[in-house]
Amino acid sequence: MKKTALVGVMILAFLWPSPSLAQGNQNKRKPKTVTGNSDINQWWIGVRGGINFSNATVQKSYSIYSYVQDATIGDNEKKYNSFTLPGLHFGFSVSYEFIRGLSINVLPSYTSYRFAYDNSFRWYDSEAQSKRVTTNYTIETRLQYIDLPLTIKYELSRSSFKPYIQAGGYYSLLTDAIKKVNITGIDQASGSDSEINVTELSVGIEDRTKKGNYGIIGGVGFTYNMGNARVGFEINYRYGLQNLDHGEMKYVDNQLVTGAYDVPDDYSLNNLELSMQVIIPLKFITSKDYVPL
Amino acid sequence: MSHCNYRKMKISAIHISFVLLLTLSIVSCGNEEDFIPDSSFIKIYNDEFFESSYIPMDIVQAGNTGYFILSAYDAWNTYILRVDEDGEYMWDYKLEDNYVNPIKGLYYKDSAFYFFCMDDLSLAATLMKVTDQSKTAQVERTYGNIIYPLHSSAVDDGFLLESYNRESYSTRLTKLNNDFGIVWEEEYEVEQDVEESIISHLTRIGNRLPFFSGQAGNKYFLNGYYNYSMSMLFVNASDGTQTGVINGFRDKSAISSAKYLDGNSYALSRFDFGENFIIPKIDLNTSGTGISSDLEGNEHPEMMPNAFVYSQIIDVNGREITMYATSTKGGQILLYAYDAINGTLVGTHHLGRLNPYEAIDFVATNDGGLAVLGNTFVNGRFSRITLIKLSEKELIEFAN
Repeated sequence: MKKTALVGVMILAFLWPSPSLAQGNQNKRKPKTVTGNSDINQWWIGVRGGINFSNATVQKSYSIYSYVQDATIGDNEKKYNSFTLPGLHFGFSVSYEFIRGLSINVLPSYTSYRFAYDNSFRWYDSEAQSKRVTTNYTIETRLQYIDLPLTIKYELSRSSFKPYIQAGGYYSLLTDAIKKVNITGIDQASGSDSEINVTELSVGIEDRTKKGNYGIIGGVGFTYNMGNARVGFEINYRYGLQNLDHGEMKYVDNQLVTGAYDVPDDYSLNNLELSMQVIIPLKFITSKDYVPL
Repeated sequence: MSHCNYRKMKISAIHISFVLLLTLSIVSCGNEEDFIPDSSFIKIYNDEFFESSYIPMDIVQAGNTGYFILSAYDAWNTYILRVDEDGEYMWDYKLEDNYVNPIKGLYYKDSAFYFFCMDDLSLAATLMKVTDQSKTAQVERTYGNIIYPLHSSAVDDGFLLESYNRESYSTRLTKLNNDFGIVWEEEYEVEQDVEESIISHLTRIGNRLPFFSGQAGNKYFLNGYYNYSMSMLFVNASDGTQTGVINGFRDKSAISSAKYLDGNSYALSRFDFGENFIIPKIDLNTSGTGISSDLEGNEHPEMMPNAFVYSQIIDVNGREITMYATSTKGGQILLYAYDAINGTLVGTHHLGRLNPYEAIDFVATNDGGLAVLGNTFVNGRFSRITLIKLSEKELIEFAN
């Protein structure tokens, strides 16, 4: 249902300003200037890139352990780290300004998302709790996507410095996914504190992650005219609507499940991205008198 | 065509193409299933006390309400665990210290669970009854003349209970009816005192021995001490009189598992001084004398020396499969699937990574999957019960 609604919004947003559907524009040719006529049709293309920080929102938590009577659950829940691990993204910007200050933007990019959580388990002597064995797990997930965001951008100023706001949706195609696990332990039951079972694993989880992700996106930014181009900076926030875990594969045995005792939760991915961009007007002009900037 | 019209067509084409591409991308991808909790899971039943040690014995599915697991606890004490259809803990119970030695053979009848254990003072076999309402084990019946219970199994019209008689140095087989009443008893001479080996087996401080029993048409078979060695006996179902035997050698060479197929055919496994052999289909003379080491079979060097093996005939997507579960030298559970008709290997499946996992039992589940009961050593040291539920799809992938 969410997917259908998102598709509908995208189609409506993209087709609504289409000049091919507009009536009565065929014989209207006016010179286009920066501060003049509002009926401007201009394509912009450019490159963009930056860093991003992700947060996994847990919809349902899972564990390989099921505790029997007398056990305390306490510390044995995953603790997610929010917006701490940087990822990178780079790609293109394709905009169609159909009304002065209002444009539709496609921002295809290749993006790397990272997030992590910690977990620990302990066992102790029932008669002397200071004698214990603790095992700690730090699990980082790295997801690589081809992103296809689609936004509508509104510029708040007509000057060279153009702050703007934008909103829309995105769809992403998974290209790679791995989990890195760092396992450490402390043995406090053998006479002194000693480190045990230091292990590092790197396991591919592409088959355990859904191929497609989608959500809504919104952000703010600005551009500044420099010569025949515009340079810009923007901050976007993505809110994921899709549970990314491939449920059918959740408990299929591998090194993570029976080795590192890690079972993935149902989660969606939120992301804060900071981007720089450089865009230039495509010479797709509608009039020989057009002055792009 | 004018330049203007051409340009508008180009814009229109780009718009429509892009929207279509975007729409196709969205609707064509991401049809992966969300998680179905009871179809596939892996659970380790954890206890935070590191002096605790659990060694599972048997499992039975309780309709659509989950599973019941029988286990030994801290060597040979008795522990019962009830989990739901998603493998999550429901309740558990540790029997009083005098009820020890839970043996293989777990039955779900009339919404109650039954199993045998032993009184540690009298050594008498004791039948226990457990219900979800009581959440405890109650003594249903005590068999004072049956000591050192070793194994039980279900047959068409009741149950078999194998035990060791220390007075007569004999392996005893008792036939019970559906209400666990005694029908007949028969003894088979060992010719020497093997009580020490029996105690080492029961208390888990020594070698675990491959006791088992079952039905083969109008006969029963049992594996136990006979004539100085672990041997497989064939007896008449009507009165327990012996008809044939496959002799082992001491406890170094013996049959490790057996399942009746049809006619004179059996699916066997055996070990021979550390080596293991799987024999998915072989005709046996149940009216004569044979030697286990003479039975031809495929050697499996990946299995643990003198490995414990559990086998069953199950239906996988309409195909009869002889499934063997055993443990490897690498610390994994290993499932072999053989065609029960022609004995050909259909596939194998490994379970368990990094930490040691041992196969104990499995049961074909109501949804066409397989629930595998195992023993694992968490962090390489803490002995715990593990239950691995394979979905029907996972089972078909390697066993059909």
